[in-house]
Amino acid sequence: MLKNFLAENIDYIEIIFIALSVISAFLSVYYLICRKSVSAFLKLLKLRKITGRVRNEKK
Amino acid sequence: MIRKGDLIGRYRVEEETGSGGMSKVYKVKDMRVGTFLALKEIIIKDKSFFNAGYAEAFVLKNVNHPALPRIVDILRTENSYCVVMDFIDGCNLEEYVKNYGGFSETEVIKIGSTILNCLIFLHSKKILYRDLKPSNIMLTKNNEIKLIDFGISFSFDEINAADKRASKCFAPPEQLLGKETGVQGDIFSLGATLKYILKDEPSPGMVCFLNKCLKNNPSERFKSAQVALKALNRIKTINEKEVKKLKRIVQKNVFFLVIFFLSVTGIFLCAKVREKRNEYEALVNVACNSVDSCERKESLIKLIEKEPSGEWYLRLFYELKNDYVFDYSEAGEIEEMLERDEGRLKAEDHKRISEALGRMYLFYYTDDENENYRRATYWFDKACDNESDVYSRIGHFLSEIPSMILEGKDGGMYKKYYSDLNEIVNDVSGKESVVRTEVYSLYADSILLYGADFYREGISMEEMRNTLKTVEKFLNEENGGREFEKEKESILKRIKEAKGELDYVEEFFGGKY
Repeated sequence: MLKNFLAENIDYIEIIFIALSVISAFLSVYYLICRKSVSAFLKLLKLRKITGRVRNEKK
Repeated sequence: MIRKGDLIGRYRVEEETGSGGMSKVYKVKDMRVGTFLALKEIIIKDKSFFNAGYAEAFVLKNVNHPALPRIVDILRTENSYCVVMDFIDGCNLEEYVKNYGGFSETEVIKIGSTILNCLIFLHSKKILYRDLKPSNIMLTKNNEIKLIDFGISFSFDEINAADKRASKCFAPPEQLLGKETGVQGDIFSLGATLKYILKDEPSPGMVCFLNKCLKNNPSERFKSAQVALKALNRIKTINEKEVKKLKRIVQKNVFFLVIFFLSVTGIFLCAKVREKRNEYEALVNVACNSVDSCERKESLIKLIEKEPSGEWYLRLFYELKNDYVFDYSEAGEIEEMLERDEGRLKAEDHKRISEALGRMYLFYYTDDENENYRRATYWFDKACDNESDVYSRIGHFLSEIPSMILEGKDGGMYKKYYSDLNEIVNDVSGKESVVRTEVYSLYADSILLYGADFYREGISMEEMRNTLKTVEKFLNEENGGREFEKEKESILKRIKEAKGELDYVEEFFGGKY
């Protein structure tokens, strides 16, 4: 059933995938460049490290 | 000059614990009570030094706070002034930072809260600390924070603007410039102290807090210690907000990247599916339209392998019986394929294929005559599960009759068999020529072999001759390829022999039955 559906509508499904990939690629690049997601990720890691440490073990 | 073992009032000097610009601090023992206390000796060099010692004693004697040492006694010696206070067993934050590198932000917030609470208390008593720095903050062994050294603290009413003894790194700019200081001065020192004791890079919330504390212009700093305390407690919230904001950016990017990779995978899979579909369509095209029988057969085998169905199997059988021979190797291949595809075929398709294979064995299998009937019966039984099918009954008869003859139990079987034979001969009259040829061939063979038995069990000669005539007529009218002609010739020959057999039976057994 599903196999038939896929075989019959493969062209439309491919178009949907192409559209999705174009949109998601654009948004990924937008977030990488304009929203600086990599530096946000590094910042987040740093912040987690800073705020996550509850007590000084050396004390 | 105080030495170890000296008795000052009721306090015996145990050891010197520290010294500063204005004073020396000793650990002393209260000889009356037996407890250890701290004795701060302020040597009176001039009026300012005396004022400093006096100020500390004055400040502390009027205040009582958990973060401040308690003044126990104030003594006067020949050339010094001694303030006896609680002995704080621990290290100051400067030493701690030098030894351990500093505190985490969470700990800094706790320390800052304690100091701010103390500053709120002091400011409410109209006292400015004015010398807040890591070396003046003690961390006790019980992890408590204590402010010490009130040497330059003053009541709001007694500010000495000219006092420049504050520590340069932690004092507010206005204090260093000799201008008037207020509560914002203590807040600046607090900011500088917290920045100094912070081990790691500050979080965004902490950066905001420290920046506000360390503004050069006092009016831009926190208005009071209460406001600063509230801001300090808000650092966590600010950080959480920042984390949420950063998380949202990262999560969205990860989400879009995942969608992108999934889409690319989807495109790749679509291309694969399309390739397979094209391959399948090409195979179907060759299987249905190719002029080469071998090519058609190969394509059909590939199609069955890809997607087994009744249609492809029946087409393959059609191709296999094109030469009117279904040999041992072909039969083995087909049975192997059917065994492989049993679970993948629909029940209806399996039934059709089994019946067709039974007919293949019955009409075309030439390698082993007994084997063909046995295999035919097996597949007919598989197709209908009982003997209700006419082909199944014929198969059973043909496979069983040799042993029945040997055992002498064949009597009564021929009439039934002839009736089934007659049924399929009448049934195929409207069907395609290849199917009719199959049945007519079987009919001719059956008359040739069992003609006398049919006659003995009541089948009239007339009926058999008429049927043979019909079959002969059909075959003479039908034209086909080389193979068909060969087969036709063979059947016609057998019909002729069958007619001869019937004549012989009539002549020999005439009137006997």
